[in-house]
Amino acid sequence: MSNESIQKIIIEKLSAISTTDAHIDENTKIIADLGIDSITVMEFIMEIEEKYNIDIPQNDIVDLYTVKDFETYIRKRIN
Amino acid sequence: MINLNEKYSAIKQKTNIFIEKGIPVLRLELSDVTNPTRAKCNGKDILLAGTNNYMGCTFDEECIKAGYEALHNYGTGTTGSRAANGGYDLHTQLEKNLAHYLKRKYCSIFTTGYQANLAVISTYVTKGDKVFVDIDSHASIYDGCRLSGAEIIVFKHNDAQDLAKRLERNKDAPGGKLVILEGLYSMFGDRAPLHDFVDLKQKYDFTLLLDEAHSFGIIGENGRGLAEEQGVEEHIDLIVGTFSKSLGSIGGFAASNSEDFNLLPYIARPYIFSASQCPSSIATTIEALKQFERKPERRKRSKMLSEKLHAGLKALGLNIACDVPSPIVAVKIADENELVKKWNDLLENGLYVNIALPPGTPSGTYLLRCSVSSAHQESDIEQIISIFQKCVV
Repeated sequence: MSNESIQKIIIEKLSAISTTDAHIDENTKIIADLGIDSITVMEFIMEIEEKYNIDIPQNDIVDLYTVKDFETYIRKRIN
Repeated sequence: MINLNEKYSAIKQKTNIFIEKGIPVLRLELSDVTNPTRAKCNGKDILLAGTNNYMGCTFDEECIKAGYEALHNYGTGTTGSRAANGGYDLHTQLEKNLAHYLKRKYCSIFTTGYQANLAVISTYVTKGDKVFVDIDSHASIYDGCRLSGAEIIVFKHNDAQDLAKRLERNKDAPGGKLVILEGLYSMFGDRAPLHDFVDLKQKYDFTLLLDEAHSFGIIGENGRGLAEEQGVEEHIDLIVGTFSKSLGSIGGFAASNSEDFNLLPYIARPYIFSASQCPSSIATTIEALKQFERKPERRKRSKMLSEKLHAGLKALGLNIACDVPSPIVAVKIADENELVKKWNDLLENGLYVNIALPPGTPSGTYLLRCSVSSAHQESDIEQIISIFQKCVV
């Protein structure tokens, strides 16, 4: 799967739960820029897990700040 | 110098919004608490329907007498941990009584329920292990998992199929596996489908921990919790619970049949480095536990009152979070503004219930959460329904 399509899926899902009008791109900080609370982040993670048939441990999430971080992480996991 | 106001500006902003709307966030003050169901708030008489005081033990005469006697015989506090000077015969007695009541070989008690989860989880799993938790788990479970260093995998609420999928993906992973469930979930009052989860133990090798914080004392024929009600006690490896709900005190416990469990006091940092519970608190807990056996009518009464409240609020056309009645009856509200307004209206009309919103609840879920006590009168339940009719419908 191309970088662009993983990124597109992440951005689509984040757009649906963002509480701000901030434009979302690869540099967007998922929690800081989008005003999402911790439980919503976990629900978002579950959607991504479902989509790619992977488990994303909570321990890994703390290092995933931006859309780009997330995309890189998913790419590594599915490969 | 770190500026905390700057660091937590989002929290400050949110807190200020609530305070402006009249919600004393995390700072509600009750006074003149005269029995398990009555107090004053800002000088006004309040009917309490959000205390988790399920068995109404807080003003039980025998519990109070036991507490007084312990104060006289042991003093106000232990001034130390069990590992040092803080281990009294009362603590050991309570552990024996709890083990007997739960039909388990071993039991350890802790200064709070929060610490019980921290201690047990961080002892049983460590770095290199995996822990599987329901997304709606209590913060003490999440914090225990974080303290453990184990890999934390979250599964969908009450969804054994989703857990099975995750266990399958990790079946060849090295290290131990711990699955953590709660009996009665605190916000919606829904029960875990324990049979579905227990069935997975045949295929996947894992240890099963059940937190019965909200179900202990009040659910099951003898009050041993949801595992007793659903007939799966033998499949639960570790039981965790609290004294601060049905037992009307403060503290927590964990129980097991595994001999390894006895190592816990030598390993669990939350146990080793916390002062033990004060003697009066232990004494009232010992007495309250005896009453679980002596006064089973309290459980029957709680069930009757819970069903009455559930049916009454449902008849008003309100959206109840769980279809099956339990002592937790939560009403869903459309949005945050409505929630805040209605919670204030209820309080203004003499009724206290819990206000619950994300991240304490799933996203988009706003709750007015009631908990029923066996100390409530039928007329109290009618009054709760009547105030909801006036303020929430």
